[in-house]
Amino acid sequence: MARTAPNWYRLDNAGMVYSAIQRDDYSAVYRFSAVMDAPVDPERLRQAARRVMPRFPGLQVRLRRGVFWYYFDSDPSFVPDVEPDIANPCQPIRFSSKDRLLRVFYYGPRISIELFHALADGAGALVLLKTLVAEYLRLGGAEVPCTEGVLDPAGPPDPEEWEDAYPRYATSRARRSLKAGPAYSYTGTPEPFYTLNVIMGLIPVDKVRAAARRYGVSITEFLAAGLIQALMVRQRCEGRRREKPVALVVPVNLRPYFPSRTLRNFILTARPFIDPELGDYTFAEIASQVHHYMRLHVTRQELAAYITRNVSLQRSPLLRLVPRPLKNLGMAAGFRMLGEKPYSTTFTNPGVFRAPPEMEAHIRRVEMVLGQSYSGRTNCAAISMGNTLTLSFSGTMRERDLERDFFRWLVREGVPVKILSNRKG
Amino acid sequence: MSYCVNCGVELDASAHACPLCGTPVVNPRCPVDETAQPPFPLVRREVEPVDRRSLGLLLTGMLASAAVCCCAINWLAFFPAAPWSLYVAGAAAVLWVWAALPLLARGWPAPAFLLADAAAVAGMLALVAALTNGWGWFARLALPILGITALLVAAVGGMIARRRSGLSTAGVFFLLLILWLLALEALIDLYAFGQYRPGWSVIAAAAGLVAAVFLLIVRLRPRLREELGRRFHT
Repeated sequence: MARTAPNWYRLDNAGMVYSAIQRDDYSAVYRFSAVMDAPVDPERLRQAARRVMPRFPGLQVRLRRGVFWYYFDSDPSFVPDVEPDIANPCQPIRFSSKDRLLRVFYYGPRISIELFHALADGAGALVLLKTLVAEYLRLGGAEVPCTEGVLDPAGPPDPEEWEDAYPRYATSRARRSLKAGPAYSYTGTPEPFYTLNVIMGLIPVDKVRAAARRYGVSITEFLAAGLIQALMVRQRCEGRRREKPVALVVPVNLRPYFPSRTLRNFILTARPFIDPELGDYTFAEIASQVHHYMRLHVTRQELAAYITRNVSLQRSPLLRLVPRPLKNLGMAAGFRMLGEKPYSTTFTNPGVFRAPPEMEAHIRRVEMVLGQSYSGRTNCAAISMGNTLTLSFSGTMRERDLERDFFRWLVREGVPVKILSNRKG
Repeated sequence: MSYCVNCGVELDASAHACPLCGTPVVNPRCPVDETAQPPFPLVRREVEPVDRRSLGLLLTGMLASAAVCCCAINWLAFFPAAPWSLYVAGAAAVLWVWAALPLLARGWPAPAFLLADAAAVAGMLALVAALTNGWGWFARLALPILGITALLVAAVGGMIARRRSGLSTAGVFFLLLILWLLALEALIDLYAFGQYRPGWSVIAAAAGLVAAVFLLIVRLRPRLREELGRRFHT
């Protein structure tokens, strides 16, 4: 018997949290952009979106309120509007009947997609961006093969792409919680609501790789260590009597550890940190700490224990029967305690953007911008393509000391940086 | 291309100042390109704010219909001589100010809501006083107690809203509670006996003072805080 496509989806483990912590002035939204070699033709992009969306049934959904859980209602007619871009990206989304969990923008040569995090994680969103840009190029006459993660828009949707992969790997005997002590919180003067300040640095990959090699670490670890160092300087400048640990939340893509083709959320987080109370650290020591922390703790076994714990909470019969509004309150409190307080800021690096060479020839660079954070901090995201690594800081804070310290340090390390920003003045 | 003289980073051709430190771009060889497209759009757009007016209007309708129905039943059928429905109408009005007004009036500052809430309670008390001919207790007892309670709530609410530490908030709460209790007994004594005779409130205040001083000491001594956290961890 042929299986009919489901007309509703349960939210996955991470999606439940992102929906529960939604506020009037906050949504977990992020943006990926591809900067093309020519100005974008909006009509062609619209046509590409219309062709591509049926291949992504898991993104053609509306978020609805159930009695016990939120759920995604299938809406096969949904195609995102292709709109001119705006100065304040990653606006909050609304859970109303008119809401859109996925947005597409264009500005000059830049094509941007914005997603609500409950829909998909960065790896899933990048597949959509690649497929959309590939179709856009095909409509312009280019020959782009369906390799390197580009999906064939004409093909049927694959149910495995929309599976919730967490329960499949919740098999560990041990259960571990992501509980950790509070970390230094870098906050400042909040901007008026809806403002998202973005400062983006364009960095040559070969130069930053050479700098990272000098310390014997990877590019991600090098940049994460630089960010920790900049945050430690900020904390020292505040002149606290007791300094708190400086910790980053680094999302970890679980697909390399637990094979899955899912495009929905399948991530956990790691927490590299430095405790300044132990004494002063040189940059080489911070880099070494981050390097060894990531190698020691980001393992299949530990990650499985975290997944098992998270899924067991979601399966608990008592918790399942709690009405949704109460669950939201509990999950928001849990998020503040386990997902917000133990971290100073977010640093995400989805890695190298790989695309077929025919497509890469038309893309100058790829960008990622994280939306506002839950408590108004500045977040950091990096992504690279070819020899350009784009590192963006985004936040709702007026101060830009962290960004300034970080990029000045990068220049001192011999890495040239070009700065772009949407800040005025 | 221009570089920031302070930060050493390359700047966009359209940048008038360094986005990192604000240093203006002054480069006679390569002036700011006014015709270049800025790296990000300049047009701002905002999502619509969440509309809670419909819920506010629904609540307004429910409360108004309850009040109107009770008044009609009272005057037409049940005990027209005793105006019991006015109590229901007054309570509905208080509930409206507490629950529906925040949904309908967006953007008011929090103190305005607190003032409106206190005024609603004062109105309800005045209604009871008018119906029972009790202006004496209203003026000398109810209104002052309401006033000091509103001040206490405003002070503690302000501390919570400004995210002061939990220990500081609790310490200040106990200090204010002492003042509130002393004032409460004074008001009751003055109303009932015509003179202030300190009694139970002083005992309660002493206990409150111990709690407040303890909390504030713990707040100011990090080592003690840590020690207590260790001993009493759950």
